[in-house]
Amino acid sequence: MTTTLVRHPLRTSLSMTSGHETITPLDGDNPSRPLAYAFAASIATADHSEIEDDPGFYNEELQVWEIPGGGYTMGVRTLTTTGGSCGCDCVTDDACF
Amino acid sequence: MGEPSNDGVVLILTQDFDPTVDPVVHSLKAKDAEVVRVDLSYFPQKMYVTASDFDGERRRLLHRGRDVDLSRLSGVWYRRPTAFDFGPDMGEAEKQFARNEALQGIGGILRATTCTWINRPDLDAVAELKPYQLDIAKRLGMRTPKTLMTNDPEEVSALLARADRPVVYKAFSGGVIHYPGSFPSGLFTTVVGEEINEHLDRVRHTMCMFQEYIEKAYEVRLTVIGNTFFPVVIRSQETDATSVDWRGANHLPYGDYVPLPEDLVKKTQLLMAELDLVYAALDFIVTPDGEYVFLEANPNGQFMWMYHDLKLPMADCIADLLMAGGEFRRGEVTQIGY
Repeated sequence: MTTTLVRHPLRTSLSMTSGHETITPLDGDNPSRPLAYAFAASIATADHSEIEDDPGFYNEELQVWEIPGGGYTMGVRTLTTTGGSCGCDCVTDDACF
Repeated sequence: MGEPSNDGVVLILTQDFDPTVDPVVHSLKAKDAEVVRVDLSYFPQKMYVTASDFDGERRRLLHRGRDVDLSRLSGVWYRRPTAFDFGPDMGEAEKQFARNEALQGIGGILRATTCTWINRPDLDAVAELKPYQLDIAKRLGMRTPKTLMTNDPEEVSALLARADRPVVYKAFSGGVIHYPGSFPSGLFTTVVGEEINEHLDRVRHTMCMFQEYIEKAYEVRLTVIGNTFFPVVIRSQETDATSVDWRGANHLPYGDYVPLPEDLVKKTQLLMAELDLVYAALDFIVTPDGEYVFLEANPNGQFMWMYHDLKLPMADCIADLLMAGGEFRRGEVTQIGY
């Protein structure tokens, strides 16, 4: 399938937990940026003090993510910022494909 | 689609951290299903994939001592895998070649399976195109917001000049990306105000979408899992944070369960059939007159927040679908309340 009009059919995502530290973006009002940036929430507010000391780990045997204390998690605070609305990794939408 | 069985193997392609997948894995295990969860980044360093018809047909995936017979797959869930990881020693040109070979080889081997996919990624790639969705929805008789899609600032200026009701800006693809490698950042549907006049020239940089603002009584997030519909009412007008885009708050004002009208169920099934999707999360506005307005369909939309908040049996439903075996068959719809 061509990627000229649609993305490559074997879509891949970025990792939710590593490798994508946020940096201060360009000014949202910069005229060289597409209009959408004028309406986008800033991600420069990530507070590193809120990062989880122990966000858990992937249990290869059970094939699920395990967090300290058990229970479920809707996300963990890491240096990664996802497309949620609260500046953390609690994603309630599909902004991250 | 048959009844769930534990004869086949369920393959889940996603990254290690994916809270949406974990409850489904638990559910599959509770149903004694054989589950294999792998990320595409395991290939090629930690995972082998083989297909051969020398000495008989065989299609295998080897990972951590697991030897998975791909011909036994009952279902594949293509969630959020990360990219192939060829390691630090390969040059960029070689990585590009290796990646293209892997896309062809693995994509082709997996595509040759005849099980239920949630969803086939090649179909997702087309189904997620919002202009296409809107066109199908209109053709099926659903109401959609009046929409302008353009990169021509003059078109936007003319629309705003003659608009007698608010206009919203909405991105085609979700959040914006602040720098290469970053995740998309929050970009909600926004009512356009006077400030747009300062930014009109930026419309020319790429395609932009503007829609009429539609008065809402409430909104519906409809999660479609096979032939099971989970319509959830969101009383978005109860808080300022959710009034224009309900993603503006993490604790959503849910409303009581309201089943979808039969006519809308039929039209939604036709839309799903035309997009050839097994799973989608669809958004509707319900006007004060009770009319449903189709906004969009998200082929890989999240649902686990409703699973946790409303105790909806979505994980079991996904698990049953993945275990059923054979290709998915569209049929009579069951609506699940809460």
